[in-house]
Amino acid sequence: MLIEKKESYSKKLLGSWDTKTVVSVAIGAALFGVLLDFVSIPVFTNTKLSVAYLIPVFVGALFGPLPAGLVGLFGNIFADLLAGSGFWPDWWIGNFIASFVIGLLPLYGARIKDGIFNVKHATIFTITTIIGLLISFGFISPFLNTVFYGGEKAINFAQGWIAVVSDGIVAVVAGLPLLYALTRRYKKNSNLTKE
Amino acid sequence: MENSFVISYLPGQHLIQKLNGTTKLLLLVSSLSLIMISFDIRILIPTFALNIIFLISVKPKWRQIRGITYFIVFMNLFNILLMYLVSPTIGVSEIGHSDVWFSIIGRYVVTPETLFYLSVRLLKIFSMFIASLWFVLSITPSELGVGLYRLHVPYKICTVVSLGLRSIPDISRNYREIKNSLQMRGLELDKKRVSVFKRLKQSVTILIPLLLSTFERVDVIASAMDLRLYGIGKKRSYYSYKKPTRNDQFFRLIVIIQLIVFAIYLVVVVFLRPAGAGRVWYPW
Repeated sequence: MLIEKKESYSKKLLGSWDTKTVVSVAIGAALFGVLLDFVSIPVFTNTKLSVAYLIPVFVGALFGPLPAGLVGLFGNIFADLLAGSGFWPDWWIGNFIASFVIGLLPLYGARIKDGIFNVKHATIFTITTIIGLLISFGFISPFLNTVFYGGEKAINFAQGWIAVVSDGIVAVVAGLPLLYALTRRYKKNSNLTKE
Repeated sequence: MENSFVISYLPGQHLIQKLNGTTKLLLLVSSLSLIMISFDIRILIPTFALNIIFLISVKPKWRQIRGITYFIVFMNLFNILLMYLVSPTIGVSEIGHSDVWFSIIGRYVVTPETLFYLSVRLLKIFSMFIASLWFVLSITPSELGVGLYRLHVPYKICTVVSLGLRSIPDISRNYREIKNSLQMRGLELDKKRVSVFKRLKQSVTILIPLLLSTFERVDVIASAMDLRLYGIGKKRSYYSYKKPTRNDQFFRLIVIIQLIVFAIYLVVVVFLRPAGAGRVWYPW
């Protein structure tokens, strides 16, 4: 019993890599890239409010953390490839970690596909999302930028913290309604009870 | 919107564009890692020159890259200025000794170390930009997929890359259609008339149909791939695979040289550096 549970944890972490997951991650990453490049609202110089962070929430809810993380990673790479504005591996890594943490949904029992998502899960989702963004954009990306490109620490960290705030707003304020809507949609298909 | 893509979806005719996908990828990775790790202009200037040569050999259309080049140059000059304003003695703390030329006002002093350090930073960013530009102009989605596969990346990841890149034009067309139809129904997207939060809400309004219509296609694509037995074998072959030619051998030699320089720099400067010494090479 215990071993079975352990296996299921690693499976939840990695996600099941069938064809549908592959295609979803590909399409999700493409959407992430397009949204990051073209559908963003300039708030401040060099900082944009982008709705791209809804995609890892969506993919994480349906497929788990690793697919969500890869959506963040490849989405940012696609955005750089499309725009041609240089490659920033510091942000790739930051996006991977942030999306991975956002996609941890199945690990704390929020099974959107079975229509299970309640207030407790919403609270954990909010907290983990903020912590994940803080770790990745608040520390890892600015630190790597200083190491790789030798930028000024204070500016890098300021940019990172602005990204934490703007992406956090999108992921939580717009992400929670999205998760509830998805749960409602899947609940209709699964009103059977297990006996 | 498609006109603003810099990436090309068509194979090109020039030398670098005709290379094998793996070679391009290795060339990019070795150049980027050299650019990112080194703070030494004796390494950075040759790498910059090499990448400029690569870029020119692709013969980019100036109209295509004009916008992004201006943007990058402006953005980074601004960034440099901001760096100076935040810490005017950044070069002194990185290099270790100071030699003040003159002071402008208060703590804003001009030292050759700071100017040197800021120009090294600028050189690094521009080299990285040039390297990414020739890569973007010379790669196609399927070549990138094959290139990654030949580097022993699991082929499902390669499919994610090539399929994702390939579906971007479709997604951006969808996005445009949805935006136009919502604007016809009276959605105000004028930047001057609505506040930031209202615009955030509106972009969510556009996003929901985009999300649904895009992920609807996932089932179709996945079924089509399943019917062609995708994911059955452990290996995969590619139509777009090109055998390495003589030119590839030559460029792989460049890759090996760059990686050797990278390894030497990593050992000598990063690991064996005495404590307290700066990582920036400074001639005076």
